Amino acid sequence: MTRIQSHRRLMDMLTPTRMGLTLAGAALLTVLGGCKASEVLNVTTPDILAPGPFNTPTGTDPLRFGVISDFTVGFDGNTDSFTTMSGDMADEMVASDTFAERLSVNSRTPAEVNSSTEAVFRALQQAHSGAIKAAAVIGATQPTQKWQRGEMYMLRGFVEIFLAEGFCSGTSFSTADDNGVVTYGPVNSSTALYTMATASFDSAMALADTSKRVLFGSQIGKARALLNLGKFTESAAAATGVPRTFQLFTFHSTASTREQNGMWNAAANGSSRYSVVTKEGGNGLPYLATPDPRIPWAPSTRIGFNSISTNLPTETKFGQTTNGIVGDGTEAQLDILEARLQGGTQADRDAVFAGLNTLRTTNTPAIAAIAGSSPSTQAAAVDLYFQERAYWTWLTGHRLGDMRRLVRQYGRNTETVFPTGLIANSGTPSVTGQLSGTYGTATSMVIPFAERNNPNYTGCLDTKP
Amino acid sequence: MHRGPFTAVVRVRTTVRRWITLSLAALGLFGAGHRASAQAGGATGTITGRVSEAVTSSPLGSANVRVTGTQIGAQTAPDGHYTIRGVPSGPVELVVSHIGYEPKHASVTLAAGATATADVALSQAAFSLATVVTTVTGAQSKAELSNTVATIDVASKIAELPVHSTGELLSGRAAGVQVISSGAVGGGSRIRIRGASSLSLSNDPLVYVDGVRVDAKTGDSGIGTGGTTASAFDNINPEEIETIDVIKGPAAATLYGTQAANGVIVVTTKRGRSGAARYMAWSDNGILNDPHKGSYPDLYVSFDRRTGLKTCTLVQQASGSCLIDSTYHNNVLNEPGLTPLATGNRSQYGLQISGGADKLQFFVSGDQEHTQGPYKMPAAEINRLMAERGSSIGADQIYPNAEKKVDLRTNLNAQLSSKLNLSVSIGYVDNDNRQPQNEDNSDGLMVAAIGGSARTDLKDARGLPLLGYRSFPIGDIFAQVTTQNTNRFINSVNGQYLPLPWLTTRMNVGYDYSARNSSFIQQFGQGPFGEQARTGSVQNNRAETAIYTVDAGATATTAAHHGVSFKTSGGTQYFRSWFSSSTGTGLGMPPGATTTSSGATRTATQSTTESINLGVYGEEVMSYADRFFLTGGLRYDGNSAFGTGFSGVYYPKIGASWLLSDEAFFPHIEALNSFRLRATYGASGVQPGALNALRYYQTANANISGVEQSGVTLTALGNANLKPEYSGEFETGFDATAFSNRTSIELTYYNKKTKDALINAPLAPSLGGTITTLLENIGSTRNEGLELTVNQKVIDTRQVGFDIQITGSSNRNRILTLGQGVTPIFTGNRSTQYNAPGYPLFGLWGRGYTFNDANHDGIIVASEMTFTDTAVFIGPTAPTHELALNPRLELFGRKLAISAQFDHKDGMTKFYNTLRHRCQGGASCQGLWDPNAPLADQAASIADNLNIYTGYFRNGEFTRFRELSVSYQLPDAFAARIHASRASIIGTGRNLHVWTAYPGIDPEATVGNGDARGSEEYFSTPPLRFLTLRLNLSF
Repeated sequence: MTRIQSHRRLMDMLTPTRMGLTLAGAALLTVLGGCKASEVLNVTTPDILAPGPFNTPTGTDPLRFGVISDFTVGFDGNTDSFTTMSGDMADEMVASDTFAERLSVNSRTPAEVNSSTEAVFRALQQAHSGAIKAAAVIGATQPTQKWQRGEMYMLRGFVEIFLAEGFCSGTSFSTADDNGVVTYGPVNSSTALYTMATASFDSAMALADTSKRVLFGSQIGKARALLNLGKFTESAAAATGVPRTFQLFTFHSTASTREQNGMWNAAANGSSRYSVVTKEGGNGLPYLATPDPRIPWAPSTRIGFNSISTNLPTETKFGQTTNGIVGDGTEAQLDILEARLQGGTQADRDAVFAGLNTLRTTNTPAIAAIAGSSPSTQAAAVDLYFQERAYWTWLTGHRLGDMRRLVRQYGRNTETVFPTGLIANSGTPSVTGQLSGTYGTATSMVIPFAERNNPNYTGCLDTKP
Repeated sequence: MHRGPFTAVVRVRTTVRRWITLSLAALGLFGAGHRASAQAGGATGTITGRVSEAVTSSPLGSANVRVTGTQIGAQTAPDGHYTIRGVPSGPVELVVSHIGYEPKHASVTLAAGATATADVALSQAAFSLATVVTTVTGAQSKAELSNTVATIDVASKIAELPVHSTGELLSGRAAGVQVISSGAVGGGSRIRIRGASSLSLSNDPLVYVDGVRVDAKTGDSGIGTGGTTASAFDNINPEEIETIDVIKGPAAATLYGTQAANGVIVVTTKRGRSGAARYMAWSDNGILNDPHKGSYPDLYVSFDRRTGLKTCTLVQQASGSCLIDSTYHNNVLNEPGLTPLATGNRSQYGLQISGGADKLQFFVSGDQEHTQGPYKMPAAEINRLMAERGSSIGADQIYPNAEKKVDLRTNLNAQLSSKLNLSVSIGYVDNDNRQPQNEDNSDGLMVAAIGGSARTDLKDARGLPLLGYRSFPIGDIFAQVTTQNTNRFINSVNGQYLPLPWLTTRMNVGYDYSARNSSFIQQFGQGPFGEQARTGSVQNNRAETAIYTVDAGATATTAAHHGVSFKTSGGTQYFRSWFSSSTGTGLGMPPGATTTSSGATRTATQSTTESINLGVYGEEVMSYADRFFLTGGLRYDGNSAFGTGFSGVYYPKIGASWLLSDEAFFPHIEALNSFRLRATYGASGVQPGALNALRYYQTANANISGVEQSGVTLTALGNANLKPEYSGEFETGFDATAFSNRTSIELTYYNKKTKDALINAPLAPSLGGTITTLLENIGSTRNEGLELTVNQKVIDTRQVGFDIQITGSSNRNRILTLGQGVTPIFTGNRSTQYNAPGYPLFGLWGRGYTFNDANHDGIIVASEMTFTDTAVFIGPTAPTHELALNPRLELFGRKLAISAQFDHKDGMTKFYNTLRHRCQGGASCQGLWDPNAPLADQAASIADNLNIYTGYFRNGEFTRFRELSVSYQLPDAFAARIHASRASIIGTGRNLHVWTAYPGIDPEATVGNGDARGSEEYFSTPPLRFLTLRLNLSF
C-alpha cells in the first residue's frame, strides 16, 4: 500500500466518526460555554471595605476616627510607640528586654534595620498620610465640618514634630492615589519638618472654629515646633493663652489590644519590655530618687522580660485605659519660661525660677517649691529648667527632643547629656540585674532601611542632635 | 452565597467566545484521529484469571490488568483473582503490571458473551516502566510519561514503617522531596519539592486524594503557640493509603494548572477487591522521648563574691569592675526533679475490612491512636499547684503535649454496568491536638527552661524560687492550655463511563471540609504570675475550610495502526476554596471560667476568604510501537485572585519518552534490560492570595473621649495587574534497568525558572505607612538540580532477599531578579536572611569579624575585635544535597525482614538562634561568663551584643539513622491458633541517632513550618525518638 493509499484509507475511517463527534461535542461545549466564565469566578469578600464610600460624605467620620486611631497607636498605643522608644533612647526608660531592637535603642546604637523603630515610624507615617487624605475628603464633601478638618491638620503637625524629634534628618512623605499612581516625596531635613509642622498648626488653628481642643492643641504644637527651630519668642507667643488646665489627650480603652495605653503595657504590666529608670548612664536625671507627684512610681517584685532585671519599679502615671498626654497647658507655660530664659540675665533667671515655682505650688496636688534660690549662672539655670521640664513631661515623648535641643541649641556636649559609659547597674535603686555593653553615641533613631525603596532617600541627611 | 456589608465582585475579562473557541479546539482533537471500533455493535465478553508471583507462586493482589489500547481493566484481589467485564470480543491482548514487578502480556480469544481465562505470573523487578501512575488524564504507564514520577507503594510497606504521619512517609523515599517535621507530637511536616521558588507565597505542593484537591497547608493552627503548627497534610491517615505518586514540577504538573508549580502529591486510598471479606487488625504500642533528655547544654553565670553576691561577666572583669571567683553552670532540663522532659507513649489500634462481589467491592477502615508527648509537669510542681489551688491538676496541664486521632474510611467501588464504574470515597478524621506554649514564646516551655539566667537563687514576683527557670515556674507555663480539634471529611465520587471501547469519560466530584475548633485557656489565678492573662484569659477560634472539586474529562484512545496510536484527552476543572474563621477572646474571668462569655472584656474578629479557579486542558499523546511517546498539552486557567487587568494564563507542555533499548539500532548490551530517554518542558503557576489584588480599608476603632467609634484605615494598596507566578521547567533524564531487572537507575536533571515571581516588595514607610509591602510580579527565581534513584536487588532467593534503594538529589536555588528599584528583602529572625539577586532564597547573611587576645588575659573584649562594615552571604538555609539509603534484608524464608533508612543532608547553614539569645538577652552562655570559654565563643557573644550574629550561623550537615524496622511473620500454626490467616510482629524505631557537627539541639530542630524560619533553631524541640511494637493480624 502506498502512503497516499494508506492515508486515504485512514481518513475514510476517521471521517464519519470525526464529523459526528465534532457536532456532538460542539453542541455540548456550546451549552457549557453559555455559562459566563466571569460569573463562575465571582467571589465574595466580606472582610474588606472598598475605597468607594470613603470618598463620600458618609466616609468622613470613619476616616477621621481612623486617623485618630492610627495617631494614638503611633504616639502611645503600642508597647513600641513614640513615647516608649523616645524615652528608651533618652533617659526616661531602659529596655528590660531580650530583643536587640529595644536594647540597641536604649544603648544608643540604633540600626537602620530595626523592626521596632520601623513600626513606630510606619505608624506615624500612616497617621500622617491618613490625615492628609481625611482633610481632603472632609474639605471636598463636608465643607462645614471645619474643626474636624482642623483636627486632621493638628494631628499631622504633631506627627511632623515626632518624626523630626525622634529620627535622624531626612524624612519623606510619599503618596499613592486611588489608582495606584505613586509619587515619592523628597527628603526633608528636620528643620524643614519643623517648618512644615508650624504650617500644619497654622492651618489647624484657622479651622479650629468652636473646638478648644483643636485650637489649644495646635497652639501647643506650634510652640513646640518653634522651640525646636530656636524661635523662642515666637514659641512663647504661640503658647500664650493656653489654659494651664488644658490637656490634649489620646484616649485608651480595653475594647481592643490596639486601644490600650502602650506606656502601661511597656513599663507597668507583667514581665515588661521596658522599665522606668533613674540616673541612667550617669547623666540621666534622678527621676526616682526622691518622691515627686509628677513621677508616680511604685516599687515592685516585677521581673523584666529579660529575667535578669528584677524588682523593677512600676510606673503608675498611666494605667491600662488612662489617657495619654500629647501636650498640655503646663508645657505651654514652660515654653513661655524658656523664651524668658534666653535673656540670659539674672533677672531673667529669677523670673524663670519664680515661674517654675509657681507651676509647682499651683499644681494639684501642690508641689513644694524648689529648694534654694534662683541659679546664679546661666548653665545652672538651663540645667534646672530642663530638669523641671523633664519632670513635668515625664513619659509623654518630650524628653528626647529636649535632650537633643540641649546639645543643639545650648551647646552642651552630647556625652554630658545622654546616658554614657558602661551599661551596668543603671542606678535604679531596685534593679538588681545588669545588662551588658557600653552606650554608643547616637542621639536619634534611624529612618528605617525600607525607606530606601523611595528612590529619593539614600540614608539620613545627618544624625546630628 | 454569604454577603457581607460590601461584596467585591472580581470579574475576569475572559469572553464567552474565548472559552468556546478553546473548547472547540480541544474538541477538534477529539474529532480527529479516531476510528470506530470494528465491533460497533458492542458484542462483549468477560475475562477472568489469577495473577501470581513467579518465584513463590503466591497470589499477587493489587496488580493492574488492562486491555491493551483501552482503559478497560481491573485490579486483582488479595487472592490474585481478577474479572474484567465488557471486553470487546475477538483477540484480546492484556497487559498485567504491578509496582516492583516486570509487566507481562497475555493473549486470549474472547467469544461474544463468553468468559475467557488468563492466568499470569509476574517476576520481581527493581523498576518497571509499566507501573501505572495516576495523572490528570487518568491512569498512565510510566513508559508514556516524559517526566519522572516517584511512586511509593504504601499499602505493602506501611505495616513495617515507623511512620506516624504522611509527611514522615515521604521522607527519604522520593528524590528531590524534602520533608522536615516539627518535633512536638502533633506538629506538622513541611514538604518541599525541588526547592523553594517563591519568596512571598506558599511553597507547599498541591495534594490530591482520590481525585479531589485537598487542603494541605503546613501551617494549620487556629491559635499560635510560638512556632509549632499542625499540618492539614498530616491529617491524612497513612494506613488508608494505597499509593502516593509525587509529580515533582511544572514539567509534569502542567495539566494540574495554577497552584501546581510546587509539585503535586497524588494520594490514592485503598480499594476493596472481589472475594470473601478479608480482615486486618493491628495494634501498635510504644514509647517516645526527646533524644537529648539529660544532655542539654548548660547555662552559665559567674560571680564576684568579695563584696556580696555580685555577678561578673568576662567583659566586666576585663574592665576591672569585678573579679570572677566562681562560675556556676547547670540546666534544669537535665535535673531529674526539675525537668519537664519525660518519656511519652503511643498506642494505635485499627481494623480494616475489604471484600465484595464482582460488581461491588468495599473497603472499610477504622483506627484510633493516642500519643502522649515528651513533656510532663514535675512532681514538685504538681504538689505546689495542688496546694495553691486546693484541687487536683488536670491531665491537660500535667501532660501539655498530646494527640488523639480517630480515622474512619469507607470506599465503595460499583460496576453499575459494563460501561459505568462508580467509586465513592468517604474519609473522616477527628483529631484532638494539645500543644504547649513553646519555641519563640516568652511564656513558652523552652524559653522558661533555658532562656534566662543560670542562677538558681532567683525568685519570681511572688517570691517563689525559680530553681533555674527563667521567670516562671514550669507549672505556671503548663497552666496555659492550647488545644485544637479538627473534624475533617474528604469525600469524593469518581465515575468512569466508557460509551465506546476507545472512549473513556470520567468525572471526579468531591470536597475536603474541615471544621476546626482551637482554644487557649488560662484560668483565673493560673499561669505566669504578673502577666495580664493571669486574671483569666480565653481565646477561641472556630474555622471552616472547604475545597470543592469538579473535574470532568475524557480520553480517546486509538488502537495501533502501523504501530502508531493516539490518546487524546481533554477536560475542565473547577476548584473553589473557602476559609472562614471567627475568634473570640475573653479577659478577666472569674475563677473556674473557661469560656469567652465569662470575660470582663470580650472581643471578636471574623474573616472569610474565597477563591475560585477554573481551567480547561487538552493533551495529545502519540505513541509509536509502544516505545516512542510524544506528548503535547495546553491548559488555560482563570482565577478569582488575578487582578482585573489580567484575564487568564496559558500553561503549555511538550515532551517525549523513548524506549531506546527496544530500537533495532540500539547496541545489544547483555546486562542492560531497558533504557529510556525522556525530556519535557512544561509550565504551571502559583496563584496570589485571594485579596492581594484589591485596594481596601479595614476597621481601626478609636476611643474618642470615652466613646468607641468605628474608624477605618487604608490596609492594602492593591494591584490590578496581579497575575500568577509562572514557572517553566525543563526536565530530562533516563531510566535504565539491568542485570535481569535487578538493577534500576533513574537520573533526572531539572531546571525550573519562575518568572513573574510574586514578591512582597517592601514599601517605603513614607508611602505605605503600616502597609509594609505590595505584592508585585517583579521577581524571578531558578531551581535546578539532579535527582537519582537506584534500586538494587542484591539477593533474591526463596530463603533470602536483600535489596537497597538509594535516593539522592541536589538543588541549586537562586533569586535571579527582584524588580527594578526593589531593595533586597529581609526575612528570618533578626533580619538574618537577605534575599538578593544572585543568591538563594532565605539565605543567611552576616557581618564578619576577627578577634585577637592582644593582652593575653584570656578574655576577648570589643576593642580586640575588628568587624566588617557590610554583611556578606554566609550560606543557604535549605539543603543543597540529600542522600537516603533504604536497605532491606529478608531471612529465614523471608519470614524475617529488617529494613532501615539513613538520611543525609548537607550544604545548609543553620541559625543557632537559641545560643544567640542565650548570649544576648538571655545572658547565660558560656562565652559571656566562663573564663575557660573558647575565645571564639567569647568573640561570638561580643559580636552578638553588637547585633552581629554570624558566630551562630553553623554548618547544618547531618546523617541520621532515621528508621529501623524488624518484622517477623509468626508461624502459621500460631496464627491458626487465633483463627488468623497470617500474623506478624514488627518492632520499629525512628530518629535513632544523628551524626553531625552542628552544636545545637538538632540540625532538624525548627521553630516553625514556614520557609523563613523553618531552618532556624530557636528553643525548638528536636525530632522525637520513637520505639514501637506492632502486631498485625490478617483474617
